[in-house]
Amino acid sequence: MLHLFAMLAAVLMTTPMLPRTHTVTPLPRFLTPPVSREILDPEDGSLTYGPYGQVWRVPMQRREIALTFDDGPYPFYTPLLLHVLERSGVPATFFIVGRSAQEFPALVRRIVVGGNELGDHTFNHYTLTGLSDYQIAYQIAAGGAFLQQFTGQPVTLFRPPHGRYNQHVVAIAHTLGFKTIFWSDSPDDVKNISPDIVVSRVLYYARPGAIVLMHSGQYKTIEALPEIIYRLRAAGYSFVTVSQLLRDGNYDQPAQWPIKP
Amino acid sequence: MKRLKVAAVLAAIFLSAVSAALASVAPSAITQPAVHRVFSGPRGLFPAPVRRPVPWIEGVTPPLEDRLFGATYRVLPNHNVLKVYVFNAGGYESAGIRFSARVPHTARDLTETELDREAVQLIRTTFAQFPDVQTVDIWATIPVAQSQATTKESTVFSVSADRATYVALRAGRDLSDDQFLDAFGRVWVSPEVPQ
Repeated sequence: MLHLFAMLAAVLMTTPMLPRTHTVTPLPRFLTPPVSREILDPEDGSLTYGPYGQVWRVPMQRREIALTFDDGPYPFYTPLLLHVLERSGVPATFFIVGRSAQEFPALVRRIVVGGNELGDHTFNHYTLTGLSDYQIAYQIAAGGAFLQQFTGQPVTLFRPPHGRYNQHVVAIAHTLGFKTIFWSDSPDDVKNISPDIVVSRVLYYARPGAIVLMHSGQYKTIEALPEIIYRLRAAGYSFVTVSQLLRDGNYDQPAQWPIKP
Repeated sequence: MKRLKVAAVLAAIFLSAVSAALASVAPSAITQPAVHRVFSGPRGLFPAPVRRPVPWIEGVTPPLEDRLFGATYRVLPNHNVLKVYVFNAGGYESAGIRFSARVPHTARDLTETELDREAVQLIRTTFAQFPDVQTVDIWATIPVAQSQATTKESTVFSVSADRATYVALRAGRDLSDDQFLDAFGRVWVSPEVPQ
């Protein structure tokens, strides 16, 4: 066993050390400058809007909440999800992967016909932080352009895959005319958890103007959804799409909110 | 002689390490036999639950999935159904069937006509034999070469069928496969689509 440790030590000693700090590449000049500084909720100081128009939550008094579903469309899962949403009369926002939409366009049409909203989740669902600026722009633009054929109008909402972003990603999305939508309420439903935990986590983080992140291809989410809708409605919440939430929260006039010093 | 002894000791250590590593590798779910295994717990020995290996079902509503697989697997001449999904939610059933667009045990892909034929058979079989199924998604995949893989397979064909359209189409029995699938909005995705 000793010789194994010796070999391991030899390998480690000969491997060059990785740099402890990484350099931040400067942003290209052609990108549109930020629209504001970070904007915080006056009540609890939580982050709501970002400098490039990113949205985590829409600060508002009205009890409105937006359900969003990432990835897909997935055969079998998406019809089920749409069935639950239609039966409950709840609109949602689907952040769709362009490649999946190309494979299953019938499901995207069904999403749109059901009164839901489409958002861009890039064309290939690559982690954008590892790509060049050109590749980031291509992924965002190609995904949005492909979805436009289903909506008949430009798709303006964008969410980065895996929620991974840096200044380049949000700046490029902003330059391309997209609003980057994050979330303030996530049950982390991609993990191996029960539908009960999905319900309890969504309810725990629910608040007026919240954006809930869930995923299309998860049974537990579909199973949890009726309970989530029932409980939130009982608490006085109404469900809207992200665009509606932004309109109701006067997203276009963020100056009324205090700016982070 | 001394060198030989050292070499023999090292070889023994190496072999014991390799055999220990191999012993720790669990057999795959597919090859694992459905037998009662006994685990030792804090209260003594008790039988572990039996897990029957059924790789063709996803496990949402297993009895229904088992039945759907049995029904659809037989109707295709190539027996190339890969996986079925069924979810029963209070009388509303949704199904999904993934089948291989590559003829098993060959390097040949199904032709477009063959894909159409198989998809029509799958839709008709599902709606005819499972009256509670309201929607069925059918899609065909081909494996992706490991060197260029971002996923394990690539979808080359898909159709999303609902019972209402199926019932409306059933009246016109002389529809060709092409016309039948077009009514559902059949999709043909080329495997050459850039990833």
